[in-house]
Amino acid sequence: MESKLIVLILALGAINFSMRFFPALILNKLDLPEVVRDWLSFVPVATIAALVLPMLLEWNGEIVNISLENKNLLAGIPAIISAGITKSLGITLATGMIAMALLQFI
Amino acid sequence: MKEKIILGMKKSLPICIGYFPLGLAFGVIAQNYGMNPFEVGLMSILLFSGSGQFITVAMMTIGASFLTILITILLVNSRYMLFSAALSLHLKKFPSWLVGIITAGITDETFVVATTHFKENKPEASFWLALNVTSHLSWICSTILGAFVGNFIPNMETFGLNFALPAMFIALFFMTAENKLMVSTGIFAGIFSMFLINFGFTDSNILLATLVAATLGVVLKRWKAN
Repeated sequence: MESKLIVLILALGAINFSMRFFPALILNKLDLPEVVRDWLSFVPVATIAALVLPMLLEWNGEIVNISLENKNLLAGIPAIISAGITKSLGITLATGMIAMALLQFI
Repeated sequence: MKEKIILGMKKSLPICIGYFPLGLAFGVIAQNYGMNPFEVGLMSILLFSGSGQFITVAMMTIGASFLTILITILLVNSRYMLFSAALSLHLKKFPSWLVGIITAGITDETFVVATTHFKENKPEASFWLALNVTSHLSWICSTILGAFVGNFIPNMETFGLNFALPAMFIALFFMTAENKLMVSTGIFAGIFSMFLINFGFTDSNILLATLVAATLGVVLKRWKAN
């Protein structure tokens, strides 16, 4: 059982390392055409949005809960405002966490 | 060089603060499943992926097969391939071994903080390594701590800690959305991701939404230019 877990961890580690390393290693040697570079420039914003929207809308096992019950959505509002103004990771993190902590008392 | 290292560590500080509650939570869950602190630490060193590690433990708990777990993680973390491809633009002058060490530290957070920094600064290996290694260490330490303290930690919700991850991603969104076109691309990706989840694509939603949205972004950019 235990050695099986270690093998799984090693295999997952190898997969993650390969996914992180090889695209950079291979593309690093090539001059990418402009259209590909443009395409890659949209990857970060698209990925982050695809990750975060489900987090904000999900509540108590419901995929979409748009109501005052959904504390992720409520805490998200001040976090979005502070992120929009400051573009700062630290300030947004603090705003969001304080908002969420305050919501526990309501 | 020393300044670059300190700058890298400074930039990783908010990432570390965000990782701490997540890592702690992961350690607790992994310990409940039956993993010891050594196994938790090894996993955090080799995987360095919040989403990947939580999903792995959840799947082990329901008794998923080895292969099912591997394929799921391949899908869930496939965004690292896209990040790696995007980073190749900043890694041009670096030797392969250094590319290996730097890319091993790619996460959503380190990727965005590094690329945002390189918009105005030259890519520096010392800055980059300091950013990645500090963030990685905070992840490793917090998960191991979670595995040790187990159920003794207080309710995370009281401190708003459960919102650390969404808050980080909200900031990352605004850091990456430089112009209106990127904002629209992101909003489309978010909605398309929800749509995919709704139809059961819960492992591949991020990859699929990114591929479609980035393509749409390029098409719109070309169309606007003409």
